[in-house]
Amino acid sequence: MSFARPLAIRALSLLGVLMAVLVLLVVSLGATGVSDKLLRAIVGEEVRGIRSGLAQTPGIDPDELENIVAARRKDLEESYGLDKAWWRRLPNTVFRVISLDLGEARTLKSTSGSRKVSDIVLDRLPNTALLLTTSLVITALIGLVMGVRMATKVGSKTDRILSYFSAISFAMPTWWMGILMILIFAFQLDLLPAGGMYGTPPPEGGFARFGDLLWHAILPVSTLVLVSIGPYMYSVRTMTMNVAQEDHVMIARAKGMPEGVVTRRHILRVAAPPIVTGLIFGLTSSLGGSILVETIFNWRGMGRLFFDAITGTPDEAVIVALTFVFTLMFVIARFILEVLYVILDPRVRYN
Amino acid sequence: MAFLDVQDLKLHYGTRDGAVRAVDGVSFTLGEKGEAVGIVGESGSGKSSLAISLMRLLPSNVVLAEGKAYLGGRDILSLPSEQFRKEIRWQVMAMVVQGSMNSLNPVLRVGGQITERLLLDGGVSKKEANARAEELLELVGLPKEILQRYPHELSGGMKQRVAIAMALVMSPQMLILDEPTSALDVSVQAQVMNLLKRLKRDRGLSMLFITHDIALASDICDRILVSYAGEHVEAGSIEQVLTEPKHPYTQKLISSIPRLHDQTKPDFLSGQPPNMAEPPSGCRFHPRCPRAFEPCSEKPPPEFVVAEGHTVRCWLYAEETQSQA
Amino acid sequence: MTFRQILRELVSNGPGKAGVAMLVILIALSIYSVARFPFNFGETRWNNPAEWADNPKAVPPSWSNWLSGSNGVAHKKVTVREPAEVVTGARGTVRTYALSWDFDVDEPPTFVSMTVEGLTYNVRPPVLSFSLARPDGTEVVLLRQVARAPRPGEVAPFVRFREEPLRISITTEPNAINAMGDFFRQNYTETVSSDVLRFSMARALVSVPDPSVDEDGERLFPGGLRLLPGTYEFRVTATVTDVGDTLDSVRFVVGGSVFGLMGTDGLGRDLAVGLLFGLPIALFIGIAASVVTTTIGASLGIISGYVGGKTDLAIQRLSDIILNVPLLPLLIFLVFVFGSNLFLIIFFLVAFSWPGLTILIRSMVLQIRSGQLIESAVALGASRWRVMFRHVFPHAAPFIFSQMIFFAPAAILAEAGLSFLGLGDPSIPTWGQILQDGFTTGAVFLGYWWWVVPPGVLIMITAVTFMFLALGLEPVVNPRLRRMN
Repeated sequence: MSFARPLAIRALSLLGVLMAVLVLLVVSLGATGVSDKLLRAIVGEEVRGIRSGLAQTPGIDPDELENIVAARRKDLEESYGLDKAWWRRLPNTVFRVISLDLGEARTLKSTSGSRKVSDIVLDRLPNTALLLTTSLVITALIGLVMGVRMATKVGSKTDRILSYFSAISFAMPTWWMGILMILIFAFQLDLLPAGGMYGTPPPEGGFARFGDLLWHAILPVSTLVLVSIGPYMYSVRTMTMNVAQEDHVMIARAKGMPEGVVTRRHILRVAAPPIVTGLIFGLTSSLGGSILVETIFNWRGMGRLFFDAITGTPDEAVIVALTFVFTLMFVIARFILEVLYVILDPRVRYN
Repeated sequence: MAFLDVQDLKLHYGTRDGAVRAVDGVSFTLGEKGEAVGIVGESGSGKSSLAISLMRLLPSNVVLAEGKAYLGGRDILSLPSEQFRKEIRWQVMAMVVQGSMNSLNPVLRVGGQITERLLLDGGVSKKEANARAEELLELVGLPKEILQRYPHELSGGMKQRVAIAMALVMSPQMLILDEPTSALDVSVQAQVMNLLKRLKRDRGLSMLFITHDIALASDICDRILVSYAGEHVEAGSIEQVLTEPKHPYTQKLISSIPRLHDQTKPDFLSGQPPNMAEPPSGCRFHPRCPRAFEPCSEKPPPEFVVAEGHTVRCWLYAEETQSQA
Repeated sequence: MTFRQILRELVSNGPGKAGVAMLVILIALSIYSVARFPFNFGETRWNNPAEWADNPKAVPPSWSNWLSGSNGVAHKKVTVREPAEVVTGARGTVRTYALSWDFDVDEPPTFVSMTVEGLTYNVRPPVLSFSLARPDGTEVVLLRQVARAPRPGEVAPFVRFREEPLRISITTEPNAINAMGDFFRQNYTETVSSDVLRFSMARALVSVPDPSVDEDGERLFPGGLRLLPGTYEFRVTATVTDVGDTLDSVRFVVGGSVFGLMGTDGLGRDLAVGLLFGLPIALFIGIAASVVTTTIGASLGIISGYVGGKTDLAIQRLSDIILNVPLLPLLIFLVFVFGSNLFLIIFFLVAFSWPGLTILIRSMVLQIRSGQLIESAVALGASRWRVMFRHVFPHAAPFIFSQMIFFAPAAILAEAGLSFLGLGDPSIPTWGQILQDGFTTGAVFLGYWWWVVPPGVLIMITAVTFMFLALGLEPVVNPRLRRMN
């Protein structure tokens, strides 16, 4: 099959990415001693608890107490694998993570109270997906229309204004855009909620609840759209312009094809593969940007979760699991891109 | 009556350095059916601009486009653009351009690109269109399986044949060929030239053959128009121009063709093509001309008739003939 | 193309011109900033609360008065070295240090502090007294303090308050607040509750009690305190017994409700200073990261494309993997593990950013390589490295250069993003960190725009400068565009 081979190669390479990230995680956590430090802290905390519990037992001999505590500490260290070197301990974590057994969190919890990281992730994933897909669809629609419009009127006033807008949009930090949005629409004008996903108290009933969610999503989604639309629009313009200058477009006009057909069939259809690529590239970078946007708008998604896991009480299991899940999401998005590219561009299929 | 009569065609592009006069007052006629006129000149002499002027495919930076081109008595350059698109493009005039690599849409199958124009007006079924495409492929010597292929699966020669087949789909009376063979290997070039000669002979196609290679032009053309810096400097039948070139530029072009069994070394033209934004005064060729004399740098030479159907723009011939203009 | 020609092309179009002008301004400001602040500014000054104790906290810039139309108190900080008056009496010599202050606006100051520095005495510890003379002729003594007596074994002269100046925050000092309450009780018929005084001491200092109410029974003046405009005098007197006893200086600070060019943050830090210091840092991050990234990316691209074979395959595989890695999550992770050192952050940025350029340059080199010029150079026996850097590189150079400029804003934004997440280098204040301080302390929700808007604007201006330069270079890189205009 002409489709299967290039896709298989890409899948293999993306699998390589996943592996590389995991190796990087293990080595940097292990070789720096951070992993040991984190685990010792957990053990230390538990041992303190045991000691103070035992100290209240009436009539306990201090020596005996020390013995019990030492024994418990040894047990704990063994159960956390601290008696083994990191290169023996951490690969187990990795194999567990690869089989999607993400382990348990120490402090974070899902809404239903589960400590299983997979439950927490499943809790948050839809929220991030809602944010990203909505902004992606809006960016794609506006970006395409405006980009093509710019390309057909290169050098015009519209083109120039939109080009400057693109430069500014590219230079605008996502999170600062978010802050400005809050400052203007939530603080100054008091129009929209500054953060969170639901009002307090959340409205009753599925429909009202969903409406409230959308209401809270307006600011984060517009933030993501505003920062990603400029570069996307400009790249659509450039790619459309490059194709429009090619000979086959001139020939299509010479053939007597009407301008609409020329634009659709001979310009946009040819520019489609890189345009779609650009869009998914944008999506993957907003995946990173979602960490910032979700932090600012207090949106309980994956990005916020990742941020909490690292800056709160650092939890090794959660960090490894989440970095893995993030990379997985990234890699899946990339693979979708490859499939689309192969469908859209016949040249890839045969090379 | 001539099939196509082009009068004083001009095309200037706007650049930062000023207006570039790519075509600056070119007139010629394409005679009876089956006549081929060659436009010969260095690259950058405005030959391709002539083709896009006639097809009205002007880029956005054109600042001046004027002149007349009569086809069957009406000036096609002043037709409403929608009418021109429907009635002239591909119906009467089709074109094949240089760089066979890029003249086909890379993401569409070859068959669809050939039949596209045929299907546009309706009245032709897909099946009929395909049959027509197969017939054309046979004519240009390609197997019909090609229809299902994508351009990148074809060789350069195959693509150029597809481009020619595509140009023939509406049975036009005239083909504009802009360097149709220059991106091809020599052997493939010969095959394509033979195909074009066959088309000209069997189908009575008129051709405007644009090339930098005067030898190639002589292979297929009946008349030759030598163009320099946006103007034509000499025009005549193939025998006249090749055997008795009058203009020093034409003479240089011809003597630069290497010949077998000849003692004389090929002669090359020295210097650079002129800056088309600020062409030299008088005769545009005078800075590079070995025989330039006083009037050359002052007054642009008019067209002098040196023989029946043989004209030249050069002050050298002012004495022996009278000006046509 | 020579450098000169590139420059001429650059300034011949709008974005290029704007980019060059902005870059010149940014560089000039950076040079000023580097000359003015030491490199350890972050540790020794920015993150040192004592440095900013005398500034008002979270107040807007001075020019915001003009924006809002209100009339805020200007910040006043004066150090007095010579006594205004010296009176010698039975109990000793009284030296009075004073600051006269005209109060004519409709807002009280945000705070008042008086600081005594370097007191030297020979025999008996002098008595310091802090008081305020009010426009209605009254004087309120806010605090009296005796310098610490000699420690056992200490020999004269005894030096006090030199290493640690005696800073009295009049507006929060409980004794001063009590003194103010007593003063109101003694001089006016109306009293003011101590609760009100505790929260509005600064207002009380410049007011008289006035509990008048309007028709609805609402107080006309907040806390029952009517502002009393006029000329005030802050006084510090030192009563000494020995003529050789000296006082170095007294610093009076009247906290403004506006401050300086850019206002202050929640710790009273002068934002103008922080923002200025952040400029060279941002430029450094952008330029360092982009130069290193493009050097690595372009070299590997040229090698990969020109050498081919296994080297090519290895470089391609590596770049493919790195290019597909999610940048921000991994950056966060790495900074978490390895610590947030600025150079490490730049290193990580570079490590994940070179492959994009490598892939582009590789395909360019493959095209250039098939050209005749390179073939002839190889035929002439030029070595591989020579061909690569003398013949291949110059063809790709304009493109590489524009990519370098294009990458700078990306690096600046990435660092700012990390700083905003609280992962910036704590020893070097950056714009991202100022924003993070503002965001985490709720400046956004309190409407402290002067704290969160300028750092972002500056990040954008810097990034846009590079964007404009890259846009201006487009005709150099893509000659097709040069003809079009």
